[in-house]
Amino acid sequence: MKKFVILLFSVVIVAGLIFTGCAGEGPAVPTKPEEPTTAPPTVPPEVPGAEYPQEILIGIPMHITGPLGMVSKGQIVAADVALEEINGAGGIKNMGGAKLRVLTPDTQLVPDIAVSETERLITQEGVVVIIPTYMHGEEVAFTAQRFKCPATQYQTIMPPTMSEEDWYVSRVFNDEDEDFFDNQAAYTLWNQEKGVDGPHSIAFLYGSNTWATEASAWGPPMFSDWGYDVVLEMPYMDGQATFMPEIAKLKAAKPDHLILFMQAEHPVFNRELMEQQVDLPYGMITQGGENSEYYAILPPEAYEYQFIHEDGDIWFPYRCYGDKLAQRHLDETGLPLATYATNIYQGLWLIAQALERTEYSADIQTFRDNFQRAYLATDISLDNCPDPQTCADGTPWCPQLVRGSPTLSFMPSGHVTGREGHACLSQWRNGRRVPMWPEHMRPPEAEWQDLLVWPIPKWSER
Amino acid sequence: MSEALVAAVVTGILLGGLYAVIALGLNLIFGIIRVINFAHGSIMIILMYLGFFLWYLLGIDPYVGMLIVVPVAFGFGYGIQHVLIRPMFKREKSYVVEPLGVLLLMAGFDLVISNSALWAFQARVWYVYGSAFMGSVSLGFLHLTKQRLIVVLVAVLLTAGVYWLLNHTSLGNRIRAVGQNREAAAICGINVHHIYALTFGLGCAVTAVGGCAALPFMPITPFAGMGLALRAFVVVILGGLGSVRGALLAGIIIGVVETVGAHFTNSSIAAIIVFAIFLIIIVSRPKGLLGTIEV
Repeated sequence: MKKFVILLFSVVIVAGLIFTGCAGEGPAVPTKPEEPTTAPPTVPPEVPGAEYPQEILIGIPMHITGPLGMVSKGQIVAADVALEEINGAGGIKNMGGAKLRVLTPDTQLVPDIAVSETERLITQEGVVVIIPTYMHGEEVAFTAQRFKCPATQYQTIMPPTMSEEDWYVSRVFNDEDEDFFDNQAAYTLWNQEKGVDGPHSIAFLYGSNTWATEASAWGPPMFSDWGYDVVLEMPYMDGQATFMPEIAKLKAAKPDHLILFMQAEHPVFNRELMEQQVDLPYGMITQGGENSEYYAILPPEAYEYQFIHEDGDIWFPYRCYGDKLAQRHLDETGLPLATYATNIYQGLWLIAQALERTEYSADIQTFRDNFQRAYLATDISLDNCPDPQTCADGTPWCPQLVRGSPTLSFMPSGHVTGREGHACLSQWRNGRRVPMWPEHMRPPEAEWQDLLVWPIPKWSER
Repeated sequence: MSEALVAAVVTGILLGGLYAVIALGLNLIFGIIRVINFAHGSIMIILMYLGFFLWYLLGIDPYVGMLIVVPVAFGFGYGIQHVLIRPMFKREKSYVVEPLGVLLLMAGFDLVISNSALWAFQARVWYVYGSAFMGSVSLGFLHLTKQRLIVVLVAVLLTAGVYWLLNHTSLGNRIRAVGQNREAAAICGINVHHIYALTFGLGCAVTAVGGCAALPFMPITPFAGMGLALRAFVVVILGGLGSVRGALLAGIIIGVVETVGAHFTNSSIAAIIVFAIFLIIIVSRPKGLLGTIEV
C-alpha cells in the first residue's frame, strides 16, 4: 500500500510537470512601471563650480564570462573604438566636452545577475542610459523601465514592453517577425535569379532560451500563412550535448529547408548533421549563428552553403565604414566583425548625438528624462547625419547608421521606424560569409552571382 | 518499424554507451564501496580538461592522451579518498555505517572543482576537432559516427575488464568484501582504507577512459558534468548497485529511452521520462535490474 502511494505520488508529480510544460502563456507582463524603491542619486560635479560633469556614464551589462563570452569581448572592442572616436572628437560639446565612459559589469549570462547589476548601475553608479545586450534584452529593459532609466534596446524583447507606457525603453531593432519577412524576400529573389521554385516545406529547430522560443512562436504560423508546409517544429535544450534525436526526425520529415534558432550549439549540430548526411535541398538558415567562433573549429564542409540571417554589418569588409572597427575586432578577438559589436558602436554614437540635444541637469532623474526626450526625437538620414564621415573614395557614411538602415527615427512606442536595411542573409562560401540578400549589400564582385548556391547540392555530390 | 524509429534506437544505443562508460566508474565508487560521490561529474570534466589541453597545447590526440590521463586520474582518485574521505571514515566508531558526512563533503568538493574550472578556463565551450576516427560508417540508411561507436566499444571492453577484475582476481575479491561489510573485511585482515583508495582511484581511472573517448565529440564546460553525473546515478540505480553488467544494460536502456522518447515528443520531455523511470525503479525494484545488494 505504501509503495503504491509513493508510486502514485511520483506519477502525479511527473504528470504535473508535463502538463505545466504544455500549458499556455503565463500572466501578461505588466506594462505600468513600478515606483523605484530607492531614491536616484544626483550627479555631483567633478570639479567644484563646474557646470557640467567631466564624464557621462553609460551602463552595458554584458555576459563577459559564459558560453557567449566572445560576443561580449567583441562588444567591448566596439565600445572602445566608438569612445575613442567620440571622445577624441571633443566629447559632448553641448556639455562642455564631457567624455563618455562605459561601465560593463559581467552578468555571467545569468538573468538574476543581469537584473542586480542593472539596478546597481542605475541606483549606485548613476548611469544616464543602459544598453541591454544580446541575451539580457528582457530583464535589463524591464529593470531600467522600473527605475525610470533610459534603455536603448538592440535585442529580443516582448511586444508588451514596447508600449507608450514604457517610455524609457526604446528599440533600435526590428521585431523577430520581420526577420522572417527578410527570409521570404530572399527566397523570392534567389528563386528569380536561379530560375527555381523553393522551398516548399520547412522545419524549425529552436533552443529553450527566451529569444529562441519567442522568435519560434512567430515563425511557423507566418510560414504556414504564406503557404509553406511546416513539417517539423522541434525545441531543444540549450547546451544539449547531442542532436541525434532531432537529426533523426529531420531525416524522417525530409523538409526542403531548415530554420534554426541556435547559437553555441552550432559546432555540435553542424558536425552531427554532416556525419548523418542529412540532405536539405534548400539548405538551412541560422538566426543566431552569426558568431564566427562557432565555425572556427568545424571542418569547412560542415558549414559550407549554410545561410546566416545577420545584420547588415557583415558587409563592412566590402566598404570603408567599418575598416577600423573590423580590424580592431579581428586583432583583439581573432574573429571577423559581428553584428553584436556594431550594435554597440552604433548605439554609442546614437547616444552621443542625443546627448548633444539634451538639456543637462545635475539631478540625475531630470537628466535621464531630458535625454530620453532627445533620444526619441532622433531623426537621422544620410543627408542629415549628425557626424558625417567620408571614405577615401568620397563615399559618405554615417556612424549612427552603420547597421545598414538609410534612416533612423522612433515611433511613440520607442520602436524604430522602418524595417528596411538592417538585415542581411549571407551564405558560407569557400570559408567566408558572402552577403546574398538584399541586393545593395552584396559585395562589389563581378562574379558574385556564381557564389550564390541555391538550391544546395546533396552531401553525396559535394 | 520506420527507418526513423530504427535510427532513433540505434542512436540510443550509441548514446547509452556513453552513459554506461560514465556510470561504470561511479558504480565502482558508489555501487561497491558506497561512497556517494557527488563530485563524479566534475571529476570527469577535470580529467577531460586534462585530455583537452594535452591535445590543444601539445597536439596529443585524446585517444593517445588516455595513456597520460588515466594514470593521473588513478592518482587523483586515490588522493581524494586518502586525503579527503578517509578522515571521515576514521571518525566513525563503527565500520558498518557509511558516514553521511561524505555526501556533504563530496557535494562541497564538486562545487570547489567546478568553480575552480570556471575560474581557470572560464565558461567558454571547448571542443576538440580533427582527432582520429572522424566521419561515419554507412549501413544502408544508418550513418553511425565512428567516434561514438568507439565509445560503445570502450564501454563493453571496460565492463568486461572491470567484471573480470572484480570476480576473478584477489583484488576484486577484497574490493567486494569491503563493499559487503567493512568491519568483517577488516577483521579478515584486509586493509580497508587502502582498498577504498584503490577503488576510488580505479573508479576515476575508468571515468577518465570514458571521458577521453568522449572528448572528440563532446563539448566541455565547467558545469557540463552535472547533467551527465545525474544520468550516471540513474544508470547505477537502474542497473543495480554493484552490478557492472547492470550498469552497461541500464546505460543502453536509458540512452534508447531518451532518443525514442525524443523521437515521439522532444528532448525536454524525453529527459522527464528518464527520471520518471528512475522514480518507478526506486519504488518498485530497489535492487535494480541486475543488482544483488539491497539498497
